[in-house]
Order: sequence, then C-alpha cells, then structure tokens
Amino acid sequence: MIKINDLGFSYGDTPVLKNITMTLEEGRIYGLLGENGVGKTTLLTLLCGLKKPMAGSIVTDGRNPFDREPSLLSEQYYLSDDNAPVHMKAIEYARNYGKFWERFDIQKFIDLMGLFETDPEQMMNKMSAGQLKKTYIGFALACNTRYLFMDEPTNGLDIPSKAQFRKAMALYTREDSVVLISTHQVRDLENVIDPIIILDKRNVLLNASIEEISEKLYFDYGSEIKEGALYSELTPGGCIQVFPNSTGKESKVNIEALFNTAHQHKGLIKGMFNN
Amino acid sequence: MEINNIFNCKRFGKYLVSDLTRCGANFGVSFITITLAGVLAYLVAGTVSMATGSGWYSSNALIRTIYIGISAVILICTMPAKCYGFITDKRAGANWLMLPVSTTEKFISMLLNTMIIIPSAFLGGVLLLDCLIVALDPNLDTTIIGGMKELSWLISEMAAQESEVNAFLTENIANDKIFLTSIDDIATWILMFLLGALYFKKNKATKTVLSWIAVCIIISIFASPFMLSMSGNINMETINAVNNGDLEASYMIVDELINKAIVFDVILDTILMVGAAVGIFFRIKTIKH
Repeated sequence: MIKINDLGFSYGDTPVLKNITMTLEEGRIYGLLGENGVGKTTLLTLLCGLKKPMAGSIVTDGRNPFDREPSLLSEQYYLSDDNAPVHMKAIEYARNYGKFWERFDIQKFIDLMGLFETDPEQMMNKMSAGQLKKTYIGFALACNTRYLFMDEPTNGLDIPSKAQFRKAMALYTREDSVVLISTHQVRDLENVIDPIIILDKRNVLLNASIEEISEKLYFDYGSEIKEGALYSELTPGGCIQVFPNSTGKESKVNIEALFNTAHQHKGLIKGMFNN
Repeated sequence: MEINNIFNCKRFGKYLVSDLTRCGANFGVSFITITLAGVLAYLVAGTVSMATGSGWYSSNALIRTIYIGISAVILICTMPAKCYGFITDKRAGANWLMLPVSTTEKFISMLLNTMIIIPSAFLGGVLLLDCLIVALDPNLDTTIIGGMKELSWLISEMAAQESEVNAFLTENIANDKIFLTSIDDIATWILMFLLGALYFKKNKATKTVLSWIAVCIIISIFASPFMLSMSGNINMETINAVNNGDLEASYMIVDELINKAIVFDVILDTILMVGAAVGIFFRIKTIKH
C-alpha cells in the first residue's frame, strides 16, 4: 500500500503538486489523468523515488521511496515515457538486469516479446520507438513487481500494439499489485484502468472507482441533446451526455467524457467525490 | 527473507558483472581502439616510412612508450564519461537509479571498474601487444618496460653531464618512490573525471579539465607559501658548495626536500581522492530525475 500525505513539490518557484493526499491499494490498476503540466509524471517519479518530496510524505509499505533501498526497489518498476535505446540485444538486456528483481521471469519476458511481435534478439538501439517501448513494457511486466508505475505506456504504439498492451496487462499483471498508469490516451485503456485519478493544477480533482463514478454520474449515449447535462459531446452516431445520477441507473463510464466533465465542473466534481 | 539494504555480497557480485557488461557495451569499442592505438601508431609510422622509400621504420621502445602514454591520457579522460556519463541522462539514468542495488554497491562497483579493472585491462593489453610487436619485429629487442628503464638512464646521463646535483635529482625523480606517487596522481585524475562525468550533463571531459585547472590554480595559491617554506633551506650557498665539490650536506637537503614534496603530494592527492569519492557517493545517493 502507498500512502501519500500532504505531498508537495515545485520546480523552482513554480508549484506543481500541493497537499496531495491519497492511498493506493493493492489489486488495482489506477489511471492517472490530467492536462499537460499538472504533474502526472512528477507524481510518478516521486512515487518511485526518482525525486524527493519537498513537503509531506510518501510511504510505500512503511518505507520512503527516495531512500532507494534495494528491498523496495525490487518490489517496484518505473516505466518512463521516454525509453533509453541501450546498446544491447533485448534478451541480453533482460538477462543482464532482470536478475536484480527477485521475481523476474525471463520466460514471461520472451512470451511478452512474442505477444508484442518484437524480436528479443534485436539490438535495442536499432529498434523503432514503438518496438523499444514494447520491449520495456515486456521487461516491466516480467519483473512481476508489486508496484508498477507506467508513464504514457501507449504513446508511440501502433493500433495492434495498443490491443496487445491491453491483453498483456490483463494476462500478466499480478493480482496483488498496485499499478499506476499515467495517460492521455484514455480510449486505449478504457477497460483496463479502475479506479480513475484526475489531477488538476496542483491537486487531486477526482479519485474514484468506476463503480463509484457510475453511481454518481450517469453517462447517456442517446441521439438527443437533453437539458441539465454537465457535459455534452456530439459523436458520429449520436451524442454522449453526462448527468448527475439522481435515479441510480447504471451506465457505462466514458473516461474521456468524465475527464471533460471534471475539467468543466471542478468544484462540483470535487465536492461530489469528496476529494 | 530480510534484504540487506546496504551491502550484500551475492547481489554485489551480480551487479559488478552486469555493470562491467554495460561498460563493455558503452565503452568497449573505444577501449579496444585506445588499447590498439600504440600498435596502430607503430604500423602507421612503419607504413609511411616504407611509402617514402626509407624502408620499414620500427618505432623504438621510447617512442612506443610515448604512444601508450598518450593513449593512457585519452583513456583516463574519456573512460569515466563513456562508462557512467549516462547517469545524468534522464532516460538511462532513471533506469540505473531504479535498479534494485544499494548506493554503496553501485559506488564500489563504479570505483572497481574505473580505477582497477579497466586500467588493468588496458595496461595488460598494451604490454601484451608490445611484447607481440617486439617478438614479430626483428629490428626490435626492447619492450616498453625496458624502454622506461632506458628513458630513466638517458635522463640521468644527460643530467650528469651538467652537474652531480642534477644527476642526483633526476635519479630520485626516476626512482620508484616518485613512480609510486604518480600512481596516486592517476587515481586522483580518474576520480576527478568520474566526478565530472556524474555532475556535468554535456561536454563532461572538457568541463572536468577546465574545473581541474581551476582547482590546481587554487591549490597552487594556497600551497605556494608552504612549498616555499619547505624549500627555504636550499639557498645559493648550498648549491655553490655542491658545485665546489662539497656534496654530502647538499645531498641530504635535496633528499629531505624530495621526501617532503612526496609527502605533500600524497597528502594532497589523498584529500582530493577522498573529496572526489565522497562527492561521487553523494551524487549517486541524491541525484534526481
């Protein structure tokens, strides 16, 4: 479990995160959403110990991530948005570094490379950006860590690869792990992420499970524009509208519409979800 | 099972091998080129000589020693940045920091690779290649080890033609005591270049050289009064006495001066090495991406 308490961070005089408090629990794949520059990557790097909090604390299983102790590092993996093209074959990279994660499974890495249709014998510095990303995703999942932080994992992936990524997440994520995925590509991960965290400038706007969201908001996929919608968007087949769920009816949560609703009604959404 | 977060022999062993593998991937080609540079220079000198109609030119031990000396300087300047400079890069550095190995283990491995394993491999490689050249070239009969002895002898001979004091001084300069102090100088340089590789993001070697020059200027300013007070016993009268044949007293003064200079050099290098090592450790411990 990760406990974040009153977390604050700034770059020089520019505050990025302020008074962030939340708990990340096992067995969930959190989707971290937010506009550009709200601090999604900063939050991920703070959680994995690449940065030091300037205020507040992060406690992962009773430990401070910035101490970078091997006991915690072997339980977590951070997949950066931008990956290093190492001068090694993918399989060599996996053998050379995988051994430091106690539960690293080389066969799982090979299976994932097969799923991603990427040759593990290929030099990583000769790979395309998408192939390189898939190699790192394969490595991250093969590490079998309890904490997995992924920054924009589907960026740069082609359409089949995005489907492969969803399949890999479904098949190869540990049941007791905490996965936090920062993304702008919400459609790529619509059926993967739950709960949803929406970061606003410096703060958490929403942190709720899909079930909680559907209890409090109703997503209408009709063809008519109705009054009282918090958010409306025309789509090729009709429109998506978001209403406060006053009737208790169930609906499928559209994360993109949710994000836009939260963005347009910050105070209302924050109050509704008690963040 | 409780994991030791400071040092674990098994984990360290695995990491050392993996770290060396990465050094090989990052610096292997450059290392081979630098190690072969002496042989290449020997071949180029011979080929150019042949092409100009002067027959095969066999570079003697002294010239081959100079080739290797230049290669060693290039190795010291480039190796730390090539092996560990990636740590300041956001992408590769983040991967490295997130590796489940303790800061102490990463630090020790870094020192072992840059100060012992890679320099030893270089030295072993160049000496082996030199023996090979001497074995294959019928015009040569002296390896560079023999050449170094010849160089020391040559300097002594040249100095002896001027005065006995110079001969005495150069003998001391060429002796093992001074040779050993130059080893700690090399270790200091490697640590300084490693420190530069971890702090500077771009033009690491150039910025390290410039910073090193600045440090040397500062040290000289503070060390000059100390050195002058040490050498105050030597005055023109002593030197004149030496030139007049009264050598015994002057030998003792000169010997004492050299010993003091060596002690000063060792103390200074130790301070610099400890300072650089502490700087490297804390850089690894606190670097953020």
